[in-house]
Amino acid sequence: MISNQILQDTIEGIKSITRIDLGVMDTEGKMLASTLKDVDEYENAVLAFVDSPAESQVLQGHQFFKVFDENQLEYVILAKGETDDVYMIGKIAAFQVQNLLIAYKERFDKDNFIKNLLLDNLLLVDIYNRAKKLHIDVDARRVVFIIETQTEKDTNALETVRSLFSSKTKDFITAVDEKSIILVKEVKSGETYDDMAKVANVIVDMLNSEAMTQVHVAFGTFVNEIKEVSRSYKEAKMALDVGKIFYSSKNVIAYSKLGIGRLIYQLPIPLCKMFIKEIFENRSPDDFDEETLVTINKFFENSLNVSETSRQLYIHRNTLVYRLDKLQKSTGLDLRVFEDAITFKIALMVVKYMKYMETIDY
Amino acid sequence: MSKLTIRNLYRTYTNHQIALKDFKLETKDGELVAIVGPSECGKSVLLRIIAGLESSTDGAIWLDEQLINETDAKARQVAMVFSNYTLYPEMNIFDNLAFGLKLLKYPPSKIKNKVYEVAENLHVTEYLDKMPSDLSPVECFKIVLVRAFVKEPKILLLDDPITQLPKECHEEALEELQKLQKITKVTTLFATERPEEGFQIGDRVAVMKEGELLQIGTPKEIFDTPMSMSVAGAMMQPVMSFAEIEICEKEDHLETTFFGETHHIEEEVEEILRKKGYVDKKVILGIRPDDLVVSLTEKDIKKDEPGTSEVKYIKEYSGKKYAYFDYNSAAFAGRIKEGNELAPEDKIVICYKNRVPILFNKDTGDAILYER
Repeated sequence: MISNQILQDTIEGIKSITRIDLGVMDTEGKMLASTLKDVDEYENAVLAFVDSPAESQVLQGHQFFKVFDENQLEYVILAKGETDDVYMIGKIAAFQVQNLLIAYKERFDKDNFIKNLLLDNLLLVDIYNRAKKLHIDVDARRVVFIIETQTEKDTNALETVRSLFSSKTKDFITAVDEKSIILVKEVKSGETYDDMAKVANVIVDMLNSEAMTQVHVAFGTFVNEIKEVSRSYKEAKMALDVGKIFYSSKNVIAYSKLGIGRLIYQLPIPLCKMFIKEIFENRSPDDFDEETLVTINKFFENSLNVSETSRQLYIHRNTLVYRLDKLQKSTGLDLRVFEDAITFKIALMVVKYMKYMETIDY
Repeated sequence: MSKLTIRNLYRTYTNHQIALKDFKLETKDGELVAIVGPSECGKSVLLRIIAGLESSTDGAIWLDEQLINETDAKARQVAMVFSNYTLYPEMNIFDNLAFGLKLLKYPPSKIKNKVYEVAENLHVTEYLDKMPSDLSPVECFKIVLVRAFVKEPKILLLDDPITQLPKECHEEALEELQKLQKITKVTTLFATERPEEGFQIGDRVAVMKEGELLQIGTPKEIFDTPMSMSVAGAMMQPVMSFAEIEICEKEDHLETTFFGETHHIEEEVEEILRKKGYVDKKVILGIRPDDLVVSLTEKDIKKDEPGTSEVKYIKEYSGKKYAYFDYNSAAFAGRIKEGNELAPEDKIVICYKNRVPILFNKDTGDAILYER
């Protein structure tokens, strides 16, 4: 559970203070971390020590100590030298490793619990029992953030998020897959979704500037009980999806603000196909050239205002009118008419949705 | 010190929204370029593309002699500060500064040396042992900047970094920024929605609108010779007003009338207007609020009497008071004459005085008297 690197750092740290050489071995006599030189020659001595009932022992000019994890022998610590001082230092090292073990276990247990909670892998009764054991408040108001990174296993991003939140013990940071980091955050009384959007923006900006990674952050709605945390997680996940499909230029998506995308995302594909066939017959909006699509988009952006759109596109008003007429001829929809415009807008969104579903289906 | 060169940069989104259009920029070594423009004008996208956080649709970005379009963000040697910056709350300032270097996999001894060296250089050593909660907002801002400089970037990108500070701190924060930038001499792009900030600290100012670069130059160049009405309108507060005037031929000279006064057009200006065929045509005159002096009148003036108006409201900018009023159904702002105390609905007399008029083509909005 504790990486060998951490063990190595720990005994090196103790050595730099006390100048006593130390080593950490597993119960099979394999050296895991050491400041000693000939690491192989201790194997037999350690195996003999493991089998003995003694808590500590002096062998071959070294003192040996045992580190237990709930009565199960986990490590053996070696300290070079036979004096009382060395005994004391060895004891301290053993104590330190023992506490590391406890700290890591606690973190691991909490992490495991949160993971299972998010994925609905726990029985209701277990949720409350385990939360109690792990000292996790069951009635706190929480919200789940998903932070999706561009690259898989982005350790820098994880480190940054941990530094921003983790030491506040009431927030949990975990991951259920390789591309995303999950933050289960406690919501203080009086905090609103706007505050959460701010938190999300801080995450985006900090990951951008510190970890140099592009990320998308989505968050679900507030939940008042621990058993509902998975709901907030699912909402955040859906928000991330909807954002990717419809609002690609946004980095922060809130489940509470999905707009029309929320509706379209729920539509069954056959229904979408029927709708698109009805609007475009056998054509696809992809058949429109780039110029037409840019025109349509600008026209929508400017609330169907012909003069403003033509100004922004640097074209003459009549050119724009000509393009709109042409579009009307091919689709039967006149974008200057509100009803037609809204149909067209929705059709474009439906097409985007269908395309996205294709990419994840196959 | 490094040089950034951007050529013909485009960015179009999948929904065919255009964020950047044919953007060009060339920075000089160690200069601070302020990019000003309204929100959504493409400033952020530009910085994100330079940083490698977003890709461009077309165009080239050079950092010194290297084309960096395809370079991974982590390898670009670019540092950024965004508006939603924060310090790691549970780390002291030293660790805050060291964190980025840890992520860049610097060895611990080098991190320590680097942090101390930069902290000393930028005069923040006294803060190193403190916690973020002990610092004032401006001090936090300063540390965030130092955190960016510790990474020894070739380019520093600042995306509207001072928005989250209380307004009364803006001035001080900008001064700190300028100071640190001058010490480090790191080429810096500073994007802001508030033109006055850009004009205050930029060695050069780049004015953007709708994804395009309208003009770039020293604050004075842009202030004196805005290339278009868009640039003129995007300048510091209070913004320029525009009046439609007609250039009239009179015997041996050209003249124009506005605010009830006839102005003789100077020879140099006349020459250009004649050459470009603006005689007897309407043009737009850009009027800076400081070139317009308004004063209270006791006279009983008739409605729409030339050269007079009525105060709509008063606003103060950097200690000076300006009156806003309508004239010929266009809105204007003018400096209140010293010694005058004006209030809304007061009758005023308007007086225009200017060294060189700023004229724009009525249809295109481009400047008439000077060219790119």
